[in-house]
Amino acid sequence: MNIVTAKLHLSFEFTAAGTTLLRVKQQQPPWRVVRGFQAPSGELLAHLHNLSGGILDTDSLACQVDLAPGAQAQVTSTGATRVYRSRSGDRVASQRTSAKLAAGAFLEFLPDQLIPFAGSRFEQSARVELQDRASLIWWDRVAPGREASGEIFRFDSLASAFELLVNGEPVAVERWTLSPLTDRMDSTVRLGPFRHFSSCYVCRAGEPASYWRKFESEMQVLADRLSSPEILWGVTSLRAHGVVIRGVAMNGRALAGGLVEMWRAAKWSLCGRVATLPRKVH
Amino acid sequence: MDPASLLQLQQIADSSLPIGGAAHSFGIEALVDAGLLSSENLQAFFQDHLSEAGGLEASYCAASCKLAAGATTGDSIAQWLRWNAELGARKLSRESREGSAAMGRRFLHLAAHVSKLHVLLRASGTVSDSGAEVHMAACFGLAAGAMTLEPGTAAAAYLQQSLTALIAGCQRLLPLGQTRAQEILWNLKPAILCAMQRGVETAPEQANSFTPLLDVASARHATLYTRLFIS
Repeated sequence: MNIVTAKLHLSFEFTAAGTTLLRVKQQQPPWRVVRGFQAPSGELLAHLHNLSGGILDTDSLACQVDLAPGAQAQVTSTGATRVYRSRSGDRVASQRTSAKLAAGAFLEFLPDQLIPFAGSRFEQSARVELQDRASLIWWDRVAPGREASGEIFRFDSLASAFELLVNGEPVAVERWTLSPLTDRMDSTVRLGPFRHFSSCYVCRAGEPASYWRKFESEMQVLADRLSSPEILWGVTSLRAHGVVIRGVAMNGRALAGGLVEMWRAAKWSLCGRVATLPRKVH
Repeated sequence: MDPASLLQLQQIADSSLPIGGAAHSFGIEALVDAGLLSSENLQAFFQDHLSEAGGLEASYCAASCKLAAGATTGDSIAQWLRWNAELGARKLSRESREGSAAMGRRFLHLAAHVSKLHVLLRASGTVSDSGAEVHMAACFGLAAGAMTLEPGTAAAAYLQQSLTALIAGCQRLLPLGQTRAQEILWNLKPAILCAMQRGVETAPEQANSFTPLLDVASARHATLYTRLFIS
């Protein structure tokens, strides 16, 4: 079986006219980016297409996103990332994402949810590097499987690594592996009665701890309002330069709706911009 | 282990060591408040806690122990501080991170003061001068290594100490008697050893931990109407 190694390299540049320009430096199938669209809130919007319609066990995908000083970008997917059942005994599909934000750049990375199918094996990793005054909103959302087909935590394994660095210093690091066929996902340490989970990192390099404590307090008011026995939200300051908003929910739709509300409030608070969902969602 | 080392280990691994261990619940109080944790599911909760968070902390503890047991130079203290920064970044929730950092700092200064061991004095001085963030698991490992203890012994003792403190915290939050608390601690010895083994065998940067519900609970702790523990 042939491994499909594919790279996508996007570069967002800031022009003398004060606009952001997208250069697709490299794209290998199944990756495809058509062009950049001007988002109402000022960023240049790029949709990441996966022409396979999902991730196969032979896929080894890499995505690199670079933002020049001052560039403003919003990156999203065209639909949920479906991870298909592994057809070979030991194959693990993988996707690596890296983002580098130069000074004063702004990136929103807002992909749709990840849906690991029954029997799938997948490793994803992301490394995000921020320089001075660069701002970031980065979310991810994971479903337990194809719920409508009765697939709840039937994948073989799902591993994830996330690193967020500011000027080379680690600010947030996540590394986990889920093996639901052997580990109980309903443990109170892991997900308890919930099935869906999500994180949203909101950062700006250089803001002091006091700024983030206030940010945390303000956002937690909304988190409390959106929480119920079916969904729980928490907002907490990172060790520096940002906060993370985390949610766990019984229902994917409720989590998606809450995440958008939290994102809107966070974006307004962070940069005074009205958040508009990427166009494909409408 | 020689009797002198055993006595030293017993002292630093005492859960009543005056480092503020009784002031932090690391998300547990909020889980109890949300009705997600009770006396009935406590043992299963701690079993999984050891498997996830325990394994992660054990890896930093064991690595710090190995580092202190070797020839410690300025470079090795710098490496140890990098591990502490990384462990802080892995503790996403402020409540848990600040609790671990406060306990780590106090533990390090106390251990350096009472033992007068060169490695600990050096690390303690560096932390005082730089204000660097240090965490309990890494500080415990460093102290154990300075006392020439084995990484596995250090990690197991650390896990037992932290579990003892958490169970004691649960006695204040839940209808949990002393006998049942001791029974849970006893029953979880195999889980402690399992987490210790994983910690010894795994490089810190490769250690896994998946605790989203505990993290959300910890993030919500500061907004509880009444609290016994610090946020």
